[in-house]
Amino acid sequence: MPSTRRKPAAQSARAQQTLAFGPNSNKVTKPSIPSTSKKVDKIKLEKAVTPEFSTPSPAPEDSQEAEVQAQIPESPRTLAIRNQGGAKQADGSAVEEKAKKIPETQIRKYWKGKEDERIAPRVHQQGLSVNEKILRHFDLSSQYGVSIPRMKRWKRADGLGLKPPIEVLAVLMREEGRGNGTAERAFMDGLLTSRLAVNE
Amino acid sequence: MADQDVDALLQAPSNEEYPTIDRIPSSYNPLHSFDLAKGDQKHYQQQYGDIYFLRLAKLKPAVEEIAAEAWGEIETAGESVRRVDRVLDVRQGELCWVAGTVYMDMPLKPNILDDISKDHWISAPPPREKYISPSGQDQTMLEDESGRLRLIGTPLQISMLVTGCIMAVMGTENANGDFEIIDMKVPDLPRQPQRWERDEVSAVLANGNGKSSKKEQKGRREGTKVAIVSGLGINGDEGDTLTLDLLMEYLLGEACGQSTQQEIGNISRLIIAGNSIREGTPLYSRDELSDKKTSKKYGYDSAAYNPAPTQRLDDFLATLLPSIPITLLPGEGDPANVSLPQQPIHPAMFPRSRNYSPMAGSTEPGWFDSVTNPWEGDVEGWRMMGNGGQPIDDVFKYVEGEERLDMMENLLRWRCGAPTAPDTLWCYPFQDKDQFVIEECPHVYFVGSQPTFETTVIEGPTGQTVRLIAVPKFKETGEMVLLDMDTLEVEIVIFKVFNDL
Repeated sequence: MPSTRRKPAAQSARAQQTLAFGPNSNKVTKPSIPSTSKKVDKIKLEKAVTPEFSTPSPAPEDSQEAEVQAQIPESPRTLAIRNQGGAKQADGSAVEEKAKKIPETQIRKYWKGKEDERIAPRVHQQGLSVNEKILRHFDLSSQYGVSIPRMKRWKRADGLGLKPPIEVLAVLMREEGRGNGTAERAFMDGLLTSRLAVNE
Repeated sequence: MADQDVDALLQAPSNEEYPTIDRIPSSYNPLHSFDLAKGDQKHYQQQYGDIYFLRLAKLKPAVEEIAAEAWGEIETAGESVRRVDRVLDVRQGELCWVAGTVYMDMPLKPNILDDISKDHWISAPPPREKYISPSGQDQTMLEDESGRLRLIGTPLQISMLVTGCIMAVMGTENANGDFEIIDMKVPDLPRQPQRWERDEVSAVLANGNGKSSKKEQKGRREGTKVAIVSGLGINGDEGDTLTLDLLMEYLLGEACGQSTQQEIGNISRLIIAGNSIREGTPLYSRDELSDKKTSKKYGYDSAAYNPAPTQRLDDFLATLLPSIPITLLPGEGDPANVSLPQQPIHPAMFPRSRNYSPMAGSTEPGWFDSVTNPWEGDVEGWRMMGNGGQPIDDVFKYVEGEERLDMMENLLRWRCGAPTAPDTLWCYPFQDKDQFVIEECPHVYFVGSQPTFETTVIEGPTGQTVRLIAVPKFKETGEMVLLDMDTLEVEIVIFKVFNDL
């Protein structure tokens, strides 16, 4: 049998049309939406859902948005509800802002207060930083819940009105700011759970 | 009126022109409290113990307020009652009160060890009707995050208690370490919204002034009724077609005479409260499965799959839907998930009826609303709450009595929609909020798939009134409940077939 030659195969491959999915694709299927904020995207989604038969379709996104905004007044109910949602988000970050501003001295005073409640000093805690000691004490306070990551647990306890100490949130934010990812879960949890478990 | 109908039916057809009767439109505003996240967003990594923590955190303030009011000033033999923070802080001989979660320790409750013994012995014992042990081995305990306290005393015999309800007890610890109860308090009914409250609130947000627009108020009709039926039990056999057809004709206004049809025109909505399908495919036990030689083609066993029940249900719904809006709750036998809250039955089950569902992405409920179990929503302004029967059936297994209405009343007074979840009732591991906690008292509470029809009205401490309805299984009794939305009075319509042949 004659040996197969490669060149004709390459030629026939080039003769076929190829599909290009990468950045070289010159087909524009959807106009790109500038992702400024979540609220802007929501407005656009709601506009898309409410039927408006008089807007022309193949216009580029910006002018379409301007037209649609002019023609459909925003439903007040959705406006009110969305504003409420925004307020709640603002609340959450307000607490975090407050926690960021708490000075080191307050954290140390809080911890000193906790230690003074006990008659004997805590054992086996020589090698730990004050931050770590505060977090471990928070882990053991079962009145705020158990067995979920610390930040989530603090936020949930705050939402339920159990008044967790804000110093703990300050410590958590500092650890997060320092890039310490292990502060989310207790050290023991890391030893006891399997490595294949999905982290929340 | 019925006499006129009889004369009208038994006569030759006439050329008289009859006016078309219109159905009253339904004012409907459902809540989506029990919707779970879909797909990847739904996590099962969390622990179930969080549910108890959340329930206690939510209801402890409420029950402590009632307890402080009741017991704050009591003095017995010169000793005043003291409030204790945690369950384990009670001291012997000291009169105190504490709030916590009830835990019933019953040896006959389903146990994971039974499943293991099934592997070694021939078969598992059959499921029990009641978990109460005859020899009095059951123990009632009060639990919170610190520990458990065994309870004894006379109030326990009189009141109904199940695992998971929150209550406050007053008493003292005795020498054995048991807590002797003198009195106990439950959170009782929560705040009840006014009729049309949600619509008014959204109107306030919309218009900026206090009144809803004239157009919306005109949309509120008088004299509407809502039909509730449950336990249709369709399984594709010949046996269920006749009563079901009678029900269909009644709701469409094709049955009876002119005056009854006028009344039927007042029925604005049909609520199907669970168990529309009885199991179409037989469920084999593990031993039988290994004996059968099943040929699995395309991933399912085609010999065992029976599409008749869902098709029949779909036909039933599609015939009714052009005329009346339907709210469909899934039940124990329906093709929805096993654990509470059951998510809406997937529209793929209803190829014909899903044309009446809302379009994807719209927030308005459609003509055909496939909803969760349990469900709550506003119909004609009244807040209605209902489920397919699983919580009440589970509570039934814990208590000695047979009175379903008492159990429903207690469920509302405990403010727990499903107190025995997650102990003996399968449920989703909530992490942020226990969805079953009842925060706003409904005006109507209906439970489907009950053995008999029962109804009553209960009252709350701040003037709340709730109409309780136990909806019977249509397959067995042929009864359908009609709820008048002005007075909240209930009547039933019975469909029966003569069996003299």
